[in-house]
Amino acid sequence: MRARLTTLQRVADCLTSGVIRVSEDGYHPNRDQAHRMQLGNGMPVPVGDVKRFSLTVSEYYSIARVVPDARGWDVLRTGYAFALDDREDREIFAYHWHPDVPLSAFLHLHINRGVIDSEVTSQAGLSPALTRLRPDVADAHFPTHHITLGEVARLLITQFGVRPRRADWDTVLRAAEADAMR
Amino acid sequence: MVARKARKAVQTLTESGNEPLELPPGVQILTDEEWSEMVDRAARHYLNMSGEEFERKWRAGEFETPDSYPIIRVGMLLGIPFGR
Repeated sequence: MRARLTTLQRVADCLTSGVIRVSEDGYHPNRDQAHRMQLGNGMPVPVGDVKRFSLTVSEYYSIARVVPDARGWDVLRTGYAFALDDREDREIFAYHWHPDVPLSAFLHLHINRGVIDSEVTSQAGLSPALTRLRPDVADAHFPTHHITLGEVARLLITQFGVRPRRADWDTVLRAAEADAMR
Repeated sequence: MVARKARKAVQTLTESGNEPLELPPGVQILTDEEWSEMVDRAARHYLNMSGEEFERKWRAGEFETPDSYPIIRVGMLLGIPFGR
């Protein structure tokens, strides 16, 4: 568990000064409720050195013995939500896995209003608050594979121009990706 | 203050029953009360309702689109199955 949290915090450090917080009792085998992990204080955290984007990270996990009678415990991820907002706090996209929410229990991606360039709408005299996606896209759940925080971090750094806070970000993300493959 | 107490207490626990536990640098463990405060903050920010009211509606399955923005952002903080 400590190794998993260390990896997550190092990955988060590549993007933000926000800290990982876990729910009380989050170091022990689960009883009824999922253990919860959150980046920051429940609100999106700014990423990069300019407030162009903010990120929300939530994860659920279980601590259990996958192999009966094994000595060690396994940390199993059981849900997540990674969401990126633009500077107007509009959600751009969100990767979700929440098995306990009916009809959308599978791994999926949401596209939201933040994909619309607010500068263009502003130049056209439109309020960003009034812009809408076409309904089928707005309501769609695009299937994905299991997404990790490391993958989101790499996406933001390499494709969204987020400046990494750590010089060794590529090494950190490679290590996290290797961990996730185990 | 509460968070500091919780972190201190956690460091006296053991992870698997065998090894002394030390939190990784930066990581914090929140008490149930602190976590509820976080839910309340998010529910008020996104949905203009208290965390308590959000949890009641979530448990009762009263949201028509529970995985839509911004409901799911608060819902993910709860760690409770929707509608149960």
